Amino acid sequence: MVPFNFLVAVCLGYVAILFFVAFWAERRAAAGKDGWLRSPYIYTLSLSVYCTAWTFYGAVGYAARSGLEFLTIYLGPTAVLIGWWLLLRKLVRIGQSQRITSIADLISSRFGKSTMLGVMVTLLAVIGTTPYIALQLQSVTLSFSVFAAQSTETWAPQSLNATALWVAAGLAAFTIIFGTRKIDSNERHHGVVMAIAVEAVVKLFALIAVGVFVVWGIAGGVGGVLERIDASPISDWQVTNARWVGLTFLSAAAFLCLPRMFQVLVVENADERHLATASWAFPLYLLAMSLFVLPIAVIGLELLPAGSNPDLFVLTLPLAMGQEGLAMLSFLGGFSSATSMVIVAAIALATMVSNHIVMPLWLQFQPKDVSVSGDVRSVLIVSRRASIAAVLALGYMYYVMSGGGAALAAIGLISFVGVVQALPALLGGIFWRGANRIGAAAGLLLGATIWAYSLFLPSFGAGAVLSESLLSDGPWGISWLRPQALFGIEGLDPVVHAVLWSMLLNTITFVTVSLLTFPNALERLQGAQFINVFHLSRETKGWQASRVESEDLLIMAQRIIGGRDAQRLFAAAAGRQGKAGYLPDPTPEFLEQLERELAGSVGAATAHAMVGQIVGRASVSVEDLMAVADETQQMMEYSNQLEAKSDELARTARQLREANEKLTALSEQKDTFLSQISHELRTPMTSIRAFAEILQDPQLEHEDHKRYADIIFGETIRLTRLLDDLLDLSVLENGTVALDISAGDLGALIDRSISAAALTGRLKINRVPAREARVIETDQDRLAQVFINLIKNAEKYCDAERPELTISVRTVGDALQIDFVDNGTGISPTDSEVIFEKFSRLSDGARAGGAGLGLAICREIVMNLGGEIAYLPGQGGGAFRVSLPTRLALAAE
Amino acid sequence: MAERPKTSFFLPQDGFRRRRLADAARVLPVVGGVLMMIPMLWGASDGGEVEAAKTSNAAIYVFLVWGGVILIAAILAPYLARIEDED
Repeated sequence: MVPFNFLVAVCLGYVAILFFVAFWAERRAAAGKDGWLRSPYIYTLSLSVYCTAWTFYGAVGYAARSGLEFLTIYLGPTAVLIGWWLLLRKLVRIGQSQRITSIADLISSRFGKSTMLGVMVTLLAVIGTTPYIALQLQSVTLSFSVFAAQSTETWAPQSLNATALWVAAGLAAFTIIFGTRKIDSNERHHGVVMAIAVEAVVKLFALIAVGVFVVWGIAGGVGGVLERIDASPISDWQVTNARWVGLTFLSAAAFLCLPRMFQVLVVENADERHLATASWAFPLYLLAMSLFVLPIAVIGLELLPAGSNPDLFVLTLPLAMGQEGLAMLSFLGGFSSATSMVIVAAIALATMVSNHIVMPLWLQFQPKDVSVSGDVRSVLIVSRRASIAAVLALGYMYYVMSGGGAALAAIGLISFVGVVQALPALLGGIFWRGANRIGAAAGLLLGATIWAYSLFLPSFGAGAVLSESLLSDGPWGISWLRPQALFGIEGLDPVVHAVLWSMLLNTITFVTVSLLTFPNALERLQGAQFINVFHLSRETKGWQASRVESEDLLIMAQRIIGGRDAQRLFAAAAGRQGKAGYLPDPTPEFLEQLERELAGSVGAATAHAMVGQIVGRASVSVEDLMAVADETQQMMEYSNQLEAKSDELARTARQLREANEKLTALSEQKDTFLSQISHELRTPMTSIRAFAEILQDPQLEHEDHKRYADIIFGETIRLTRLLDDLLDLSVLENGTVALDISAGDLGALIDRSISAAALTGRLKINRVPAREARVIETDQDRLAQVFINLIKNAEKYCDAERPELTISVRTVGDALQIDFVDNGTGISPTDSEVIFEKFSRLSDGARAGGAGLGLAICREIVMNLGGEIAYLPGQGGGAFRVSLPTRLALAAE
Repeated sequence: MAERPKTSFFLPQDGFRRRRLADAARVLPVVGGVLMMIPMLWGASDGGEVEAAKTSNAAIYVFLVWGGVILIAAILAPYLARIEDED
């Protein structure tokens, strides 16, 4: 028999030990001796707040009712931790780099520091967690009542409520003392974490102790237990696939989304590497917690009288066996589970409520200039403490109002479904850049509504909130909208039904709305920060330099994070800027840093709003973003341009090299020509001079006189012709030649050219007159000049014994081709490239007798006539082709 | 033969090993998840000729898989933590 007072004394003693442990841990941390307080194993143990009284007592009851299904509650978190590399690692990194204070803060911060989302997630968390806190209070009072039933004293029924009240008050006191010592909720609560770690050990030890007692003390070892398991009614239970999968998913999601889990997983995480240890150590803890659940359930069903509450087997079994010490330990284990959950949940909820609801409201009612308003720091502490008290009071009220009946026992899973509505926004927020706040809010709202409608409200029982007819027939008799059979699909387990529809529609809405709407600039920046957290060490550039008074900022910061810390922060920032004193320039970097520091205390949205009040505006605009994007774009374009330019340069260089080679060749030709032409000019000039001298001789015969004068005349003609040619060429080249266009017969033109060429008769000319019968409209004289030149060339250069020239005419479309082919050796390919150049003369210039201008003139004429002249290789001799349009287009003129 | 230093298996510059290690960390939860879905197949005999698996056997299976996954995670964890350091 355990007297009531003794039980109370044990409880108080235990609580006193927790106070001492927490106090001691805080002292150690304050003294800087927190080495092993930061151990990964402490972190792992702190995660055990997942195992609440609901799992401590309830798991056995669950197993007694549904066999192995209770394992799903542990397998979900195991999956999350085993897969830490995929998800938790990123979550923790984001939590640390952005100084996240709660899950509401994470979602709000990711979606552009949105106050609206912060409020929504906070409300959801409060609604989802309050029944859960009530559940813990119930478990404590129930365990009290177990001892009461054994006791000789009779307890008044209201003393159960009183117990719950005292427990709630005690927890509130503990939480307020150790949970709000530091205003920066981003800092670790060493005392709380340490106390939770101790409690984790106590509850594990208690459950294993009971388990060992049951297996080896009652069932006679492992073999005996296995036999009894198969013999017990539990074995009749069959796996329901939907529940097995659905509940595993649900527990995994809840492990991430429950405010208390987020608090210990992310916010209280001191070192990312602790996750690596926790990734196996916490699943091991869960395995140990669940190892003896089935044996206890089986033996409990077997030994305890029918109708006893299986939820309390952990307690009643040792009591029934007369093991009061063990029962006491088990009681403490359950008490530990309940208290640790309540403490952490209260801290997490209080942070969320004060940062996302109280502070924004308080800011609203402040005069615009925050620097002259009241002390933020004290407001923050008061609001946080009041929130803790309020959360616990809500839990207590819920407990009293729900009557502490069986309805409460089912609340665990129901509460899970509520909080996991934040999952799509959470995952979308850290993995998908396209997610935006409107989508997140829409999904959250719809998911929460479905949850409330299909699971939460019906859980109060038919007629309590939703009327019986609504539950059975749907609103207005629309059976498709029946809360527990949405879309007419019946037969689903209510929890699985709610999980399925709420998560599905939540996710679909979130994605669809995100696709259809646009995020604002800050959201995009934050999104990039969150998603690329492993690649970016830079923080959001949210502020631009403006005329902020650093002093105002300092005053504000002092009110939030305290004078000493604020001054240290400012002095350090000033030092980094190379300034003495406490007032750094309000550079964007500094504003960012300050905002982040403040966010650690009041949450991202509030911190942003407060800095915004002083700075004047949230200065990120879409234009700024575009500028950033443009910069990158410009860089890329610039590099592309450089590449293109370098290609172009290479091309130009190649062209230049070619041009240079050509110029060099031309220059050489010119040099050769100049020497040639001076020679050409000099020869007649020399003879003119010589004969003119002779003519001065008075004794010269008349006949000689005439002969010499003729020679002088002839040489002058030659000179004139040379100069005429040069002039002609320059006129043609300048394009200033006036063409005299007229229509004429090609054959007649060739006849005229041949006779004008004044051939010696040695050259035989082959023609096909019928083909020459064409009318050509062009400058007849100029064309004749070309023909004459070609014919004369053939006469001059054809080295065949019986020189022949074949002139053939062909029509190709609108053009005429006139070929002049002789039967000589022709021109070598190298020579053929330069024969049309001015001043070019083939190597055996002696035979030429001209100045090398003939073909150059020909080319210029033909070009002026709209055609072209080319050397035709491979014709068995020298061959030139003149191509001309039959009608000269005068458009150019 | 040159003696291999103790850490050589996961040298920092050994990018290939590191990536495979990260792959293992990603695959593990998937494999564990699939193995944990197997008990669903056992419950399928409602009064048929084949008897449903005994609950004790099912429990032993689940705990063995669970323990195995934890063991592998424990082996991987120190190496993964070292990668974290180098990040």
